[in-house]
Amino acid sequence: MPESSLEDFERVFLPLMDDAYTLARHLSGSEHDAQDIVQEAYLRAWRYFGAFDGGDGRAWLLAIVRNCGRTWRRPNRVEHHAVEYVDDEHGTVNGDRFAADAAALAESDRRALERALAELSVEFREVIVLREIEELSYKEIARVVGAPIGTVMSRLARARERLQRTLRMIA
Amino acid sequence: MTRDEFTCGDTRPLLGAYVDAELDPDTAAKVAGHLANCPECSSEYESMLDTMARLRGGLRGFAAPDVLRERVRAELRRTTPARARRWSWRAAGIAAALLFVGLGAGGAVGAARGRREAIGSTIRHDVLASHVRSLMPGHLTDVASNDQHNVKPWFNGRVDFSPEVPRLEADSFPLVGGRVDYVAGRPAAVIVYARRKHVIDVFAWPDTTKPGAVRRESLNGYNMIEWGASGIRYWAVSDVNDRDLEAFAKVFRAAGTP
Repeated sequence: MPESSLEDFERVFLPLMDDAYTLARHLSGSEHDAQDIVQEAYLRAWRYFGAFDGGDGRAWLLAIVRNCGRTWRRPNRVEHHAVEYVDDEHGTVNGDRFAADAAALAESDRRALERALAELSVEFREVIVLREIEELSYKEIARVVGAPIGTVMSRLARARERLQRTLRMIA
Repeated sequence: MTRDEFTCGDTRPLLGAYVDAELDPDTAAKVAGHLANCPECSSEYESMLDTMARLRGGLRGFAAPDVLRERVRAELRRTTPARARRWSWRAAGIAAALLFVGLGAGGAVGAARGRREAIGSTIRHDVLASHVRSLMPGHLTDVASNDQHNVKPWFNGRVDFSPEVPRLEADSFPLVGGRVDYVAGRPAAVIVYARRKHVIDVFAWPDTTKPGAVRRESLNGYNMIEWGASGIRYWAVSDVNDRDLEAFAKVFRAAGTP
């Protein structure tokens, strides 16, 4: 690999910042903390960029975000965060699909679902975010959270079961 | 009932992974076998499908605020010595173009002009039309196989060149098969891959006139990436998101490099 340059790093990783921010937001539950986590993660990623094998940059970056997020010291543990949604900014491919999707939830139901997600333990929450929002494969999720695939599978199953209960209530 | 068959207890914890297509074929077949014979599990499966569709529909990502982007870029610069940066306006253009595609802004990004544009446009529309047509039942492949040693020789005698047919299932892009199609009036080999429930078509034809540079664009909700290697032009097209297609093109090209 030639000398790694900031130019190469930014070309690969700056377009992934929405993904990084999404994970950080869900891990921390706070807009402010999420920004700090993403910034720290990018600085770390740049520091370790020489060790990046050129594989899937997204899973690699998300693993760093996840580790930053999990060790982040929140000044204020109990923090109620306003849940915001991004419709237009998060890519029209998904946006269009969701808009046309019969399964799409009403705004109030989505808030209830977001709250239910926020109330899950972080082990459950992170696998849901990585699977349902970031759309990583089980293998990628296993790499990001540093757990065996079997563990990922059972965490996902249990997390979905809990969210299913919430969905039944709002159905 | 043989010992090999799954019970409800075996099946239930696997339903999510079954829907995600993350089970190995043997286990998936056993789950399917149980579902066919068990109304309770079958109903649980329906409910799981519904839950997962609603999770997908209800959970959203967040867009990183502009102020954060600026902060990160400034911090990266602050902590990096100038000589290691090699920042250029060209790179800024590429990053902006990537971002542009990433935001689904569509249109031909960095497209060539004039005549090349007109030819490119024909190719683009042929490739897209062929891809869309292939998604109709029975049109996807002429040779269906997840084995490159079946697909690659199949092209012999059907096209007068030999496209790369790498195995990419380790990267979660299983090979599905191949077919021959027409692009801009000449035969093109099409190598077909899957990404979860999506199809990725890779069109290939000989072309030594253009350099190997990679171009990306999106058209009517489909993403396309074009590159050249060893005198062959490749166009990957799919409705997977641009990140997945980017990852796909990357591993395909890497696998094709001797």
